[in-house]
Amino acid sequence: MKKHVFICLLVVASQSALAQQPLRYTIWADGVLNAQLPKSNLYGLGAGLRAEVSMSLRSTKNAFFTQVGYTRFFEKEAFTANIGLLNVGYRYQVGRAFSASLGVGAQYWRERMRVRFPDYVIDETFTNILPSATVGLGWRIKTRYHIGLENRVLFKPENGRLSIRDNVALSLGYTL
Amino acid sequence: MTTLKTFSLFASILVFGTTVYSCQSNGLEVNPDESIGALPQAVIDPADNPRTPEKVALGKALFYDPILSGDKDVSCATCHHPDFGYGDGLDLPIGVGGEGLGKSRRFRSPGAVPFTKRNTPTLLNVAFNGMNAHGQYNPATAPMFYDLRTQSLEAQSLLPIAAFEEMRGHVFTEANAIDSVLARLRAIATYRESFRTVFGGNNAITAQNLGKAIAAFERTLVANNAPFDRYRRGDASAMTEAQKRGMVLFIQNGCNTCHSGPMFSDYKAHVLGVADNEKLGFSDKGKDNTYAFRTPTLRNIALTAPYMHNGKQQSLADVLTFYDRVRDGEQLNANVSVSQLDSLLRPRVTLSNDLIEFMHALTDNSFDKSIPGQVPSGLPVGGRVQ
Repeated sequence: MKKHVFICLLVVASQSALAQQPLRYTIWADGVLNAQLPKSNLYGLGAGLRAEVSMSLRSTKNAFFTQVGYTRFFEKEAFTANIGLLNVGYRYQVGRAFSASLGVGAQYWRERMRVRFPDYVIDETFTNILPSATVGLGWRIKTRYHIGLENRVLFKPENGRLSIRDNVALSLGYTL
Repeated sequence: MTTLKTFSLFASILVFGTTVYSCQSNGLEVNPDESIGALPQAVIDPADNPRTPEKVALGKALFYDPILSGDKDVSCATCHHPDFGYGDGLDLPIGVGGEGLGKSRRFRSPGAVPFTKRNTPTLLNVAFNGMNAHGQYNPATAPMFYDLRTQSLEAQSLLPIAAFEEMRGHVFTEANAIDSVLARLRAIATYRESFRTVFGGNNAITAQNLGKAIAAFERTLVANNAPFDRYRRGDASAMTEAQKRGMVLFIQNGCNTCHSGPMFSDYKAHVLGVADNEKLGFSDKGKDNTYAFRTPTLRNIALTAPYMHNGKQQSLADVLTFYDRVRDGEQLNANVSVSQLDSLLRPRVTLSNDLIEFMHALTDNSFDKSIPGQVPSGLPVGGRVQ
């Protein structure tokens, strides 16, 4: 019991401390590349936007962030995808301009498949929610501008196996 | 200044949204001559060999009866067994001088009789051989064998009986093999009666009728209700999402250039440069000594490993890897230079689980697996398969 009370106090205390930190709002524009082998992928390029809220944790070197965003993979032969994403993570500022981040979250994929056979047109939509993990590197330019490179790994359990999708995003950010 | 920045930001978002929304998919268009579709629900018989229940029953008895082989120990079913999707599960078949079934089949005296030189093709859906991308076919001229040397099941079904390593052995010469087998059949009352009932007349046991009866049975070995068939007939839930993605990869990467039509074969010979199977002891030169072999069907492929004309690839993953190695310019058969390879050989799919999943969607396991309890000769059903 004492242990639980102690943990609660610790959480409340840390929340109080965090609440005193200012929030930062950043908009990211993403160019997305399907990093799977080009020979076996269904997507090539995409674009997206993310809104991020971040908050420093005790020191300015550590930050917690939450992102929501949208990505669209453009047509490659048969498929297009509209993606909604939610990502939470931790960013560590190394030096003045360089940062590294780790995140976890989920992506909602709405994929449209169109195949036109001579006698038949297949037009189907698949929807999935995929857990995701991200690893990112960032560079700050002046105080408000950022360049980010992020690898997004998505996990899809399917027919008793776990298939992995891998996307890379090159991003430009602006902190409001 | 802040107002201007905010306006610029929202304007950029609006432009982005409009651009993205305008990038709508037109879809992957399939060439009519490379289309893939569902198999028909019914089989066409040649005009001179309509099926009847009695003819099919006779054909089935003959199919499982080792009386057709020289040493009376090999039947058609020895290598085309229902437990192996009417194949044999081996890279190269063991006919004469063998015992056992499937992977456990081996020569009783290794070295005395050679392996049959090409991988056993499944008989499932062989009734549809020769079907083009538009679903049209003529059973009387249907192409047979990896080197396309025979047309029609009626003609094909007699050839293994006269082939030394497949069924004939040392007992007959090639020239008198069929006549000798017919003499055996005439000596069995049940066959005399069955042939007379099916074909009429007192001299019904002929080579032509033997071929017709076996062919009639083989045309019942149909597996035309695979998930892909149901999907193409309109059941969107028949294939999994992975299989649908695999189907797109299959088309996107040009696999359907050769594996076209409802049978997933163009029934043409192509030079792929598959490495020789060392068990043979010589290099199989294929059709007209060109190293070309007919495109095999992909139907029921999950049941018919190993793959390629000589069974060199053990799994579907191995087959995909093979295509990539060839695509990367590797010469896998010392007798076939890279410049000899078929110009259509352009698959670009690196090992993809989705593609393999799609090929599993071409398999229909609901075919006839029944084996007769006995055959008219009284010999072991299926030959020496125990």
